[in-house]
Amino acid sequence: MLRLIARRLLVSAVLVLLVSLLTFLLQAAAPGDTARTILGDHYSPEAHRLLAHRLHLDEPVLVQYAHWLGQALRGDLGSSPISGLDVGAEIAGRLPVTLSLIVCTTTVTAVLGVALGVLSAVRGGRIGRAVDLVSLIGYALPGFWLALVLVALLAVAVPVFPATGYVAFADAPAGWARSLVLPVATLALPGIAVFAKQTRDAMLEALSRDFVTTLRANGASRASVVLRHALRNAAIPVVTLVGLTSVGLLSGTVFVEAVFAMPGLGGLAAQATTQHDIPVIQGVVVVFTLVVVAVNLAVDLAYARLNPKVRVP
Amino acid sequence: MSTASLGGTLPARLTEAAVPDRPGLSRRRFAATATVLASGLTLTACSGGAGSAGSATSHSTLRIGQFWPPVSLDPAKAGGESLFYLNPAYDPLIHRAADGSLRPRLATSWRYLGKGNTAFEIKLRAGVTFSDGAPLDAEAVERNIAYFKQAAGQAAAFLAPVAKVEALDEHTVHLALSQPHPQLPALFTQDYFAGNLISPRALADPGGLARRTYGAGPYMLAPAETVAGDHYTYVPNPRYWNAKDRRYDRIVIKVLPNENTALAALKTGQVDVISGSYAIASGAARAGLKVASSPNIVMGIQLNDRAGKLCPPLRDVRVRQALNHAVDRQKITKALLGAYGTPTDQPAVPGQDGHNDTVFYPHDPVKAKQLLAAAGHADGFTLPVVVPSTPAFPGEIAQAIAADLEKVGVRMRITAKDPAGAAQEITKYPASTMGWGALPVYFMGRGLWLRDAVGMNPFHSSDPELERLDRQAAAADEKTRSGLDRDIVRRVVEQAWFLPVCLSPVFLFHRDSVRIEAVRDRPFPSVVDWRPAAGPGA
Amino acid sequence: MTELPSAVRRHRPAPMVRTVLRRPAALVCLAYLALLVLASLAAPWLAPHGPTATDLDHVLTGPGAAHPLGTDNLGRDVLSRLMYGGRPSLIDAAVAASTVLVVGAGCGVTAGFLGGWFDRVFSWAVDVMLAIPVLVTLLVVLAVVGDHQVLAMAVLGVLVSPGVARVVRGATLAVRQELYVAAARVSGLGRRHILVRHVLPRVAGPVVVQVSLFAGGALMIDAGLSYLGFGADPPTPTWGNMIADAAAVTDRQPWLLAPPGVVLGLAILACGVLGDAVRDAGAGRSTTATPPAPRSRPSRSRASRPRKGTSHPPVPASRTDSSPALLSIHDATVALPGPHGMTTVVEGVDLDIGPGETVGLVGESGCGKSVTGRAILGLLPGRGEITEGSIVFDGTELVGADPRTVRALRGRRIALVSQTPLTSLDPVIPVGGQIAELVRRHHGGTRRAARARAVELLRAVRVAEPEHVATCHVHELSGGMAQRAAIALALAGEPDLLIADEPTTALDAGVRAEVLDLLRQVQRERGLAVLLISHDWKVISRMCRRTYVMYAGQVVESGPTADLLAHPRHPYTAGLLASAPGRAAPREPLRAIPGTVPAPHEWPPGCHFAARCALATPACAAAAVPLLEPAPDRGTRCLRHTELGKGDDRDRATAVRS
Repeated sequence: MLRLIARRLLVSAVLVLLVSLLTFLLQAAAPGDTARTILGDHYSPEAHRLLAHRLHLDEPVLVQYAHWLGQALRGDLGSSPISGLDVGAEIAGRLPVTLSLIVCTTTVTAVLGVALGVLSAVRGGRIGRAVDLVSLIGYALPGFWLALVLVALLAVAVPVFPATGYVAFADAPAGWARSLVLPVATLALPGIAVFAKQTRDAMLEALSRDFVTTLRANGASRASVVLRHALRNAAIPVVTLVGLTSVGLLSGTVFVEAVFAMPGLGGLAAQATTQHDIPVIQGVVVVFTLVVVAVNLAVDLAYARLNPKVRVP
Repeated sequence: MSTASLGGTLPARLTEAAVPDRPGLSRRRFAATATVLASGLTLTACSGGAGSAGSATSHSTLRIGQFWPPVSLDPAKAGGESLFYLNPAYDPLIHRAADGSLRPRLATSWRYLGKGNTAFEIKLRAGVTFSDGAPLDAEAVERNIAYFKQAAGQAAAFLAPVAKVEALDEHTVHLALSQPHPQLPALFTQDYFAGNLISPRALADPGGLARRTYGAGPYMLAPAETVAGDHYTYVPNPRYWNAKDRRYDRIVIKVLPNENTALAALKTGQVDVISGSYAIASGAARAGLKVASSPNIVMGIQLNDRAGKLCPPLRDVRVRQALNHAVDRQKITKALLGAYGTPTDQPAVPGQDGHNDTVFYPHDPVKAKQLLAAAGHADGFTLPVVVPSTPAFPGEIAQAIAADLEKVGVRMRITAKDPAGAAQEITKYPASTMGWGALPVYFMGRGLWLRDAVGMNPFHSSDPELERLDRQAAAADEKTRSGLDRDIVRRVVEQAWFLPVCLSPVFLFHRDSVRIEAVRDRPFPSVVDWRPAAGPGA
Repeated sequence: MTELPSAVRRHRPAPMVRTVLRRPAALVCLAYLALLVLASLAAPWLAPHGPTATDLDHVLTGPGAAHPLGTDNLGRDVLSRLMYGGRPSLIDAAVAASTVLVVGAGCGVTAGFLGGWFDRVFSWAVDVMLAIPVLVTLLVVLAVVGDHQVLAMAVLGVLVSPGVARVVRGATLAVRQELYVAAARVSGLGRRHILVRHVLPRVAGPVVVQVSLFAGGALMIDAGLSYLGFGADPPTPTWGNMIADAAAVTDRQPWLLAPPGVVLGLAILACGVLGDAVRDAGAGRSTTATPPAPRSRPSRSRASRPRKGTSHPPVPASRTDSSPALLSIHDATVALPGPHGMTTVVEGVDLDIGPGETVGLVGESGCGKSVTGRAILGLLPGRGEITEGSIVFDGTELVGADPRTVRALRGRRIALVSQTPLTSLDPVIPVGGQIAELVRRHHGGTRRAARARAVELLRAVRVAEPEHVATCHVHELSGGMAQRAAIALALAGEPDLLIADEPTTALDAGVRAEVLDLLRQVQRERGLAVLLISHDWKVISRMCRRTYVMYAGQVVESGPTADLLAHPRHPYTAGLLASAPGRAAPREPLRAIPGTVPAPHEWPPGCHFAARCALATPACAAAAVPLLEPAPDRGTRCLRHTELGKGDDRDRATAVRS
């Protein structure tokens, strides 16, 4: 188990290095540079040279990268040439928003999806068809479009929920929950369906296995067969899905935070992209990668708990 | 188009640098003495006092929704979109009131010395301290002007003629100018940033200015309750010199980059005031919200490549005139702005600075074709234009123009770039979006059509006649100058360097609980002038 | 669970394309996508207006005669813009999908096929790349290269390729490892030939699924980027920037959100459904039939259908007087859902087991033995049901009884040991935990007591180190050990009747004997009645006092085992005995009898065995053969059993074979 974690962490470290290096190289390959962006109209070759020197832009890319990395390892992600703000602080301020979105959405998605999936596996028939229908719709609806429609319906036409913004949990837990309803609903809908479908398939598969017959034949209760045995066996693909979903949500938040004007990392990334604010994007990419790594590690650990065969390395 | 979004209407960086978005200020001579102004101020305070006294003690919060976040909170680097973010924290030297008149604020009086607009004197209010405790004195002004000039922001270009700043005594400053500058009082209002004095102590380390405020205004930014790019919270500045005039206990400005959700937030009372565009104006009016609009943004296309470097046909003035004739301004304005817009073919607001009561380019496709044919372009040509991708309006108007030009055979090829990209690549396209406030002609010349104009004259087109008229006007007294200003605008329009379509309004939408005494055709009053509406419901 | 699918397996799988096209949903999706492609290609001729033709007098009109889908904020026709807007959207999705096809599927096939170091590097790279956040990376690319949508979509394709590649690699690996490819390799065919002829056709399905599903996602991301302003420049319409335009005016004309959203949504949907259809078609061509949706509760209305009007009385009086049977099945008929609808798979079975008696049920695969066993437990697969007859256990009628009655019997009175021990135990819960669960269920008590009892049970089935084994998962046990654990599990409720369904088939010969000994031991010690289902005469002869022979859903012969072995009264029994007794592997045709067992829907009205029988006469095929009593305590369904009764077994077998 420890070896598994250690191996994962090692791969993750390599990954973060790789992704940050890639971003760095891309940035270096880009036409124009940060100094040019900062100078804007006050561009003159002389000013550019001075600024480039100050920002270490006149050094080779790899040296620049080493510089950035050295600072990043000390927790300093640099500062935005556009706003002058510290990237690390910016990200730290916005991370709770994105994490709230991801954690809440994943939870809602998984709980509802698994419940629906189990229900439709056990009951079949109408519920199964309903799940099919919802999963198709959920799969097909573009998130940002759904967000716009939800806003138009539930925030503008019949104002039930706040249309925009984010309330910190520490400020007002109720407000926090309310501010998350629409974005989480937007993000969760497609996921719920996917979960329901996957759970149902996995449950059907599990329920059709020999041990289910054996257990039932020997008197195990229905609840135990479904919830203890079949669900635990079905949980492995579902846990995979939890991982995939939370990672996928990192993409979803970019659109949803933009529509709902939430001060999260996705919004920051989109905004920084329009402004060509490379240090900020780089910071976001690194943090996103770290989140992905953390999620994958958690999924691996969950695997090990659920699947005894994995436990022996 | 909101005040804030204007920053984006113009390719953002250039806007910051060159074109303040505040429209023409009243050109009142400031012969008025300090006492008169002071008494005027007292009167204002008294008349507003009855209504606001109660609310000043009540714990009230003003919540504002803005389309754009501030590019920077540093007044020397801020752009048009930052105005409302700076208003609460930075008191200007001179306060431009809702009706356009100039009132004393940190300065108690000001005047030009002698003739020819080359020497200027400012007298400072005594006993004022900045929010960090530094005192306001002549030296602070001196260091501010030096900082604004070197920070190379929006105000820098307009401060260029200021050659020397001299502290005569603790509260008197003399400015010596290298060239005539008739608009220094306007420049020192809140609208052009240069008047927003920064604590000299903070200037020692200007890096902090992006994150915190160091002004002498009634409020200061509370960094702990602020998330950059999302919301900005202002709390009272305990050292404010005029605390009785402070109307709120707290101001929160929330960035709401989607107008429809902003309107929803306003309807549901999450915010009290939002900026916005025509897209939500009818919705706001239907919902019973107050709509304040001021049509003073000149919208259209700038034909930047007047020498025909990228698009040879543009070299011919007849071609540029033909384009101006081809566009149906009435129809476009009505379709895109309803009753809120004013069709125009000149960069000036009716009844103000530089406006000519003439229609220069009536809609006349036939004439347009004739002009094109005369210039040898009967078959038309392709005109690449760069526009910002957000907000929607510049793109819409460009598309509308494109449809009209198509009818005379000119194919407009639109490239939408993010605002920063559009600004950076302005020199790669012969034409670009036009969207700036109708300013005093002196300022517009320095931003738009003089050879050394900063930013929005990317190819440095020059016209000797324009340069000459500008020199004359800069040194003239107000009376002579208004005629010269009209001549300048006429010359610009006849040269067809631009293709203006309409004056587009900036909008503020607000709830009954806030009183904003906006005056039509004037820029909106400073946030510090907004107040809770009288009555218990406020 | 049953050997039924043999009928399905004989179906030749139809080529995938045809299978897919046979699905209406897939057809509709294909038609819709084709329509989109066509509409966007033919837009210049078909669209009622130009995509950029403004009409400033009619802005935001809403749907009407002149503009079926209304106009936008510049008075442009929404329908026309939708048609033109399809082009960039579809091209972008196609670019992304082709990138995935080339990079993802290409790498996947290569890695899976070549294996070795390439595969290791590949797998590592995939692990790494899967952790790259896609959209944000895409934004970085866009920030750097500017608004180059096609390039961005290609990058998107590369970014999602690892996931696709992994799936495709898995599929390729599976195919490669299959026998015939191995054989092809041995016989010296070139790699290229193997790849093209054998591997590619088989992995095409998964590839199409992945690419199709991804194409939907690409459409969505493309629109999303376009919505964020990274798409084609205005006034060129794309679905994404139409949504953005609509979003800007939702307050004035909310309708505008609908057309692009719906068209886009349906396109994504079509890709998804198509992918699903291909997957289903590939997964099992049999999925056209209802998948076995296990229902915990047998449909009460059906099961409790009044049994009047059936020609057989529920409990035949004749049975009760001989010996009081623990279990008495009379004339039981079972139907299961299958590819041909509800099909009778067990027909008119009579079977009795006395207390403490071991009874054998023998027959080839697919003849209904297991189904009969399941029917007793009320655990028929899918919507299977007992359509006729009766099953009486210890005086209680189970057919049509309240499901609770049947449930109460399971484990406590009737238990089951099934064929493959490794799959008949829950793989994720320790063995002891499973036994303890049933102990508690049947006898209550504390967890601790139940655990102790579980260990005790394991010891009772002669498991060495029962304490340790109790904490093991089934994959940590040997087959024999697992089967002992399964028997312990069955004994947890101290049942009276044990249904042992091929309990030793999956075990090695040595272990087999041990398990049989064990079964016999517990049977003796506890006075258990055992219904031993097997195809193995050796097992039957060793264990069972009486034996029933099943063929094609019917009991064709019954009697005391020794007597039956010595003097079979049915040609099928004779043939079965003749075909290397004890060695007939399941699912292999019997060497002594030509032909195979007919599938349930192919059963003839007369004798089910007639088609394979050397003794068959027209009378055999004419009408159903009743169960005859050739001798006391014997039964047969053969009209000509008298002829079989003469002579000795060897001749019988020869007679059948000739």
